Amino acid sequence: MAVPAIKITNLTKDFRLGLRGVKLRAVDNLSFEVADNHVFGLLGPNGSGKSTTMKVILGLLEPTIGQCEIFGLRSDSVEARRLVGYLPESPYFYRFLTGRELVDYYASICNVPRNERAKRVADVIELVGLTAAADRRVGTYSKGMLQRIGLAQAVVHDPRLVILDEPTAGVDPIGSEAISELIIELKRRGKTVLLCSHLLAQVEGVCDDLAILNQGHLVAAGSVGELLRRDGQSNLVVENFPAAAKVEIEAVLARHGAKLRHIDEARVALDRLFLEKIGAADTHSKETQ
Amino acid sequence: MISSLRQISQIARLTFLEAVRQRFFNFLVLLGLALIGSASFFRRFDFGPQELRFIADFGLGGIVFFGSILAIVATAQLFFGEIENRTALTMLAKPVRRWAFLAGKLLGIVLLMLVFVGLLTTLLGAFLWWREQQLIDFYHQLFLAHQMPTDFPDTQRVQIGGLIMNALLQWLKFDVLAAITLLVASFSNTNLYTVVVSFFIYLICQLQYIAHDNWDKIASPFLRGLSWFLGKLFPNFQLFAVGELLVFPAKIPVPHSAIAAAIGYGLLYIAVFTTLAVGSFRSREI
Amino acid sequence: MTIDRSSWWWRQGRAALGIFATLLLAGIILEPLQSQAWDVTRANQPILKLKSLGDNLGQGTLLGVFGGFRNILADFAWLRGYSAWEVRDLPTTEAMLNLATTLDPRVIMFWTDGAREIAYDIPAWSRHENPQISDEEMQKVNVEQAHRGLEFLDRGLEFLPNNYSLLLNKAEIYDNRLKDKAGAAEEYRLAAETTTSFYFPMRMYIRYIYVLGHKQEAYDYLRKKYLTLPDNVPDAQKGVMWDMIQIMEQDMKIPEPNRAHFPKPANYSRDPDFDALPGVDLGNI
Repeated sequence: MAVPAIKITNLTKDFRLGLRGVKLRAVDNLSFEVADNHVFGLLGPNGSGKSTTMKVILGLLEPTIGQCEIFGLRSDSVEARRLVGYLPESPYFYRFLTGRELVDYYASICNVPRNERAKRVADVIELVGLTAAADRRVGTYSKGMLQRIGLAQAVVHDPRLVILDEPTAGVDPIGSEAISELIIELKRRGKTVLLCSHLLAQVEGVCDDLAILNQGHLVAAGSVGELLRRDGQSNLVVENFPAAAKVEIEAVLARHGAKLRHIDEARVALDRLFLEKIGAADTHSKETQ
Repeated sequence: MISSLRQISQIARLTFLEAVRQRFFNFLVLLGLALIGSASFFRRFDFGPQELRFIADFGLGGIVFFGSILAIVATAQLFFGEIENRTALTMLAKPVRRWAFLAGKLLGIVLLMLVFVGLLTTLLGAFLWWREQQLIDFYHQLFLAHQMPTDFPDTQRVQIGGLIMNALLQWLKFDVLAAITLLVASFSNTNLYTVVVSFFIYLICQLQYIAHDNWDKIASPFLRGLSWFLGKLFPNFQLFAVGELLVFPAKIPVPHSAIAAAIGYGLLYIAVFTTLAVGSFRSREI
Repeated sequence: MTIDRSSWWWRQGRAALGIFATLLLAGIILEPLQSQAWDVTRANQPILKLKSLGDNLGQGTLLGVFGGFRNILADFAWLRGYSAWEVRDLPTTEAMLNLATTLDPRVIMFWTDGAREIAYDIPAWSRHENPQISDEEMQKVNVEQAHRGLEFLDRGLEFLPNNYSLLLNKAEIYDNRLKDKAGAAEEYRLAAETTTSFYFPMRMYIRYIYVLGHKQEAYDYLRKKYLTLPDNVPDAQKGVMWDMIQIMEQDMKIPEPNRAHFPKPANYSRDPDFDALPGVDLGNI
């Protein structure tokens, strides 16, 4: 049986607040696993314990009770952190470095061999689509570019597990789509991705599994398909639906003990429409130039 | 271990690059240079051979004053900048040991202080040498014209080697101060608190010699014990003033062993405070 | 009473105790290194040796607080005092003088120039401010300020023992302001003892004790010191000193066999205005 990328067992984390040491329990008896080479979504409202859980995974916080392992290694060990790449929420990087210098810096920190470093840096910069801007100072980057260079520094040392905290926060739909594609590409390259995001549509689109936290407790966990399935219900998409057909369908369903609940107009998702329109506009403008 | 050393050097390099871009650093360097340059107006006064001491006082005093401020503020700023911008999160999520991160930050600040002290000392040394040559010529003319009983006295001549050694000792003192600030920062929550507490500790270290030298003259056993304790708890910053005695010929020659002792003292205290900072930072929740 | 080992107090207290214990141990272990460097520093900076904790604690605290930049503050105070002196602002001049010498008592010029301001300039300011002042009142002011100048220099000598410039200035105040030849002679002698480069104080001492009546003492001292005078240093005035020996021997009627018989320095001839020994009739000497 493959070793899970992340295994959290009975994780509880308390914080002491103020001089009287009032306890705040941020995470309470949390247990779940992230399978290798899966994209895993960690969801929850603000204050649900997502950040705390992530920091424990990254070895930045010690659990009060319980433990966390990365590919069988203790999450607070240096060896475990060699296997992990991390993109923080709203990343801030050294503004005076160019994108290439920044990624090279983190590559050297992660002990990427010197003779491989230049090529590795170039590869990840190309992966995130920033080759043209690689030699500009990070201080001149847009939000989306910062996210992408952040992703580059997270994967430059070829980690097995990539943790992304709100990778599309503040990014436009096109950039967001690009990041989704990158996530899929990372999975295709054999990596495991842990994704924290409030963009539920994106999570639904890219994640294999997810866990939902609320007030420090796990309220749901499992594959996306299983969690979102409505047992005993099916969707049909119909073209040219006349009223007479509706009556006949209701009769057929009644004979089989089923019932037509409601009929909705078929809709395309707003982000899909946006991408189609923008993409079409870009194509038209290129053709007319 | 080798990879940790490489990480330390990388973190130090970036810390240094970030620090020299800070307006605060540039401002203090300019102030220091202005102070040294302003000593040129001493020619208006007839200080005689002692004019060189005035110039040296201005220059060395400026280095000490601005250097102390820089050591504390730059250390606090560079540490809390990482925490507030969460670049510390990004860094510590990498396979970097916490002690290596702190050591890299401190090394970067040590380099910054070296540049600061080196720059100002070089300018001061050049200015002193230039003015000394002028005064020597001037007094020699007076001596030849029998208007002065002797030539420019050797006791007022600047010892450039002594100036450099004094710069080294002041740099060491600033590094101890930076290590102290790093210790405070390792458990402090804010930049302001770190700066205030560090300045307070700096003052105590400046006054430590009073407790150290006089604890046995105190009648009350409790106060005597407290004085002894304070005299041992904090490093003696006045000790580094042994370097000032080298700039001009001292009445009582300064033995090499005293200089070596001061250097050893500084290096060991840097190690002590850095170790304490690492121990404190290890359990800090980022 | 059970201790909550997870409480903030316990954890922070334990950490603080660990830090204090480590620093205390470091202070004890590093004491030999500290002493080695500190003893030398303190020896060269007398102000750091506090004689008593009482009066001097404030001063020591002031110095300690400012540390290495007390010198620059002392310089600023001096310059401020200089500006005040230029406009005859007595309170500021005195205040800045005291501040400069407190902050950095190693600077000789603070003491010598300061003493001159006290003994010479301030009396002159008094007359300037009050042109109607009687001669008696003026004399009282002169004497009072002269003594204050001497006290000021004595304070300086505590930090700079046997300093030539300070001793010379004391002698000059006794001489010029108090007309006290005995006091001046003693200070000239002390100044002469501290230097082998300057000969003026020696000459003044010899002259003064001679005219005060201690002729034998002056003659013996001169004979002893004459042997140490260099030939090629104009300030030594070897020819003048030789001449003084001749004058003393004649004035004191020292028998020929007991005279020094030092050879006359080459190229020496007596200046027509020669008055090396005031009050002594050179006559045919």
